[in-house]
Amino acid sequence: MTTSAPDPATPLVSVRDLRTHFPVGGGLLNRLRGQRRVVYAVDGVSIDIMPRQTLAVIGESGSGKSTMGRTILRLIEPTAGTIHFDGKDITALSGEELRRERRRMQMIFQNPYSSVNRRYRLVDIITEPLRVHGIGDARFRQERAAELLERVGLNADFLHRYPHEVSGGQLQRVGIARALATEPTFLVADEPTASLDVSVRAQVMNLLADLKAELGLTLMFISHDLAVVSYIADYIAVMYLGRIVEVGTKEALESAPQHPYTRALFAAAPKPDPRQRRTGAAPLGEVPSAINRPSGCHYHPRCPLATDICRTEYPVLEWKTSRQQAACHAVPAVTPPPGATLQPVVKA
Amino acid sequence: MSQQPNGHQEGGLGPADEVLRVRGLTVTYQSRGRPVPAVRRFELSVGRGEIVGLVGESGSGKSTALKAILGLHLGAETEVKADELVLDGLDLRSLSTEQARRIRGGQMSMIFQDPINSFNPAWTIGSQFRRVLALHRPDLSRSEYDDEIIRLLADVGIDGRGKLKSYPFQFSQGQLQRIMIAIACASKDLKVLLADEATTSLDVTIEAQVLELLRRLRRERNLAMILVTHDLSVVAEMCDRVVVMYAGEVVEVADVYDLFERPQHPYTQQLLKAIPHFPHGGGRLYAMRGAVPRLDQPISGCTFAPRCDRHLGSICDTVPPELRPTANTGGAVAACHLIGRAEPARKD
Repeated sequence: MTTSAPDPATPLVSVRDLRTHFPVGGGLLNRLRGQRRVVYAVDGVSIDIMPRQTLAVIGESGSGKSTMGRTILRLIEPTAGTIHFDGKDITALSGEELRRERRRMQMIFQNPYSSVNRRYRLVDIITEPLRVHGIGDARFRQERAAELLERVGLNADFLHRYPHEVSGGQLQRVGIARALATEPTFLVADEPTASLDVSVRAQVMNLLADLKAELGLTLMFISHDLAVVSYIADYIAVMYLGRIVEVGTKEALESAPQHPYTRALFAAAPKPDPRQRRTGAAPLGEVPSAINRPSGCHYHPRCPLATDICRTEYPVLEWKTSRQQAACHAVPAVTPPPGATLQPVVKA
Repeated sequence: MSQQPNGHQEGGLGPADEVLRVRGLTVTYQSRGRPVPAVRRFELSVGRGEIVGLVGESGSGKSTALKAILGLHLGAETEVKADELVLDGLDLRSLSTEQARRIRGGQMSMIFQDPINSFNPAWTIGSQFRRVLALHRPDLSRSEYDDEIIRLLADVGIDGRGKLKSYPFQFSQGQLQRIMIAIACASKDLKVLLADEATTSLDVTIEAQVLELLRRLRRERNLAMILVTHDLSVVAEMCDRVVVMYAGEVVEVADVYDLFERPQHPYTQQLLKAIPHFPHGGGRLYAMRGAVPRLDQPISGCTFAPRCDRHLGSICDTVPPELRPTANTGGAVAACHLIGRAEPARKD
């Protein structure tokens, strides 16, 4: 289904020093005083995503994970940095050129109901990307819609239904079918199962895993749900206030998280077992505002390991084991593994 | 109300020191001229200081049941009936509007999922808090309100000094959820706290803090709680006893350890199997087939029959199963034709 077989050794998506800052209001008076407040939603992220791999991005609300996904797809304008897609710099593309690249990168949204036009039938929803990109004639698109519906486990009876006539799980399948319509190689899935019930969540996760394997998709999976991340990810990146604080293979992070924030996040994950109740105090405090970020390491006010240097200097992301990097003054770095580039790139 | 010093009432569902008792609760909505029986034959019993989980997926009727218990308005054409609805010896069905208003927030309060939308955005936190005190704290004079509010806020870990004139948007979600809990617990007569997905919209680290707060309130004030949730991890972590609902009916009641270790109803068994775990052990996720049934169409037999992995045959499709005592102790029941058969139900 992919147009050209991507080279497994070069990243499909390569992001360098990506920044997405949003100016916030603050009123006329502040503007006259020259005080501009800025939300540092994404603040200097570099990451490579290898073909056919799934990078999961985790973090709390306000960590910038959704903004990062949208910025990479150029749905939000980056403030600085570069985005390469399949070797091509797409950071500054616009108009027709951008649209051509967009065919190969699509998005699956969190809430299936709010991400479709309620007045469209499902067939219109699924074929909309084809119409936008001028692919095929009406008959071709209709057939493609039926094919896609079947691919996501719904029969052709659904084609002429409206969104309110199907369940949330079924509509999320439609959202996936729509994302697949233009035969993309790269998908960004932003909390695709967060609004689904447990019994339906597993269906959608299995579908995504199947599609990834069968179509050779490269996936950026944004989620706060560690259990679904653990099911689908090859790599995990942990974000905190706009920056990646830890990144590495799923196995490395799960077996030995290095950053104190990753550890706190994993420890806070509730377990569906009454014999494993969390005991002791919950991690202190809340995520600070992305406008007034703490100095130095943004995590230091909540960090049990914080020392003086943490209050003044932001730690760089460095290798802490041969399979993961973290940005923390308190954790000793190791010599980068041979051939290591910027990211923990492990060949598929 | 009959009370036994310890143990469970014979033949009943509930605990000995019962503070809330509901029998035969039915809630019927009207949708496009058709009756939708959202809650049927609902039973619940809660003891003093006990935390009961009310679990189910979207459309299971769990939130509707909770609102009906509190006597919240469910719509002009909605019919609410109950054989018994007793709060600490008081028949809630026979109350006048004014009496019911004093009970709500006085002896029985509710906290909601979305803290932002549960406050009036145009009123300060202080003014919203004072209204509740005016209604439920006759022991205080007006001049004492602000001191009491500061004290109640301190109790939930919020320094309210200088913040009573702040508006809801000036607080974080986690803070607002704590403030809502403080308001709900302002009455000295509070006996039962109802929580409707109270931590669903919170990040895991904040959720852990709010759950710890609820546990402390139970410990310190011997409050009974009903936690409505779809999240089995929250149930495992918090609850003493669990009521499982499916398609408007109670399908199983059991002690929390029994429920997770020896679930009797196939729905409970399949629901537990469908939860993804962190870290994921490998392999595909178990996915329950199908979706919850529509309630605006008549259902014959067991509501779960079409999705059941242990379907027995025509009896399941034609005869609705009654709640019957299971092999689990403490008055555990389940509504399944498997219960009480020669071959006992086993955990898969």
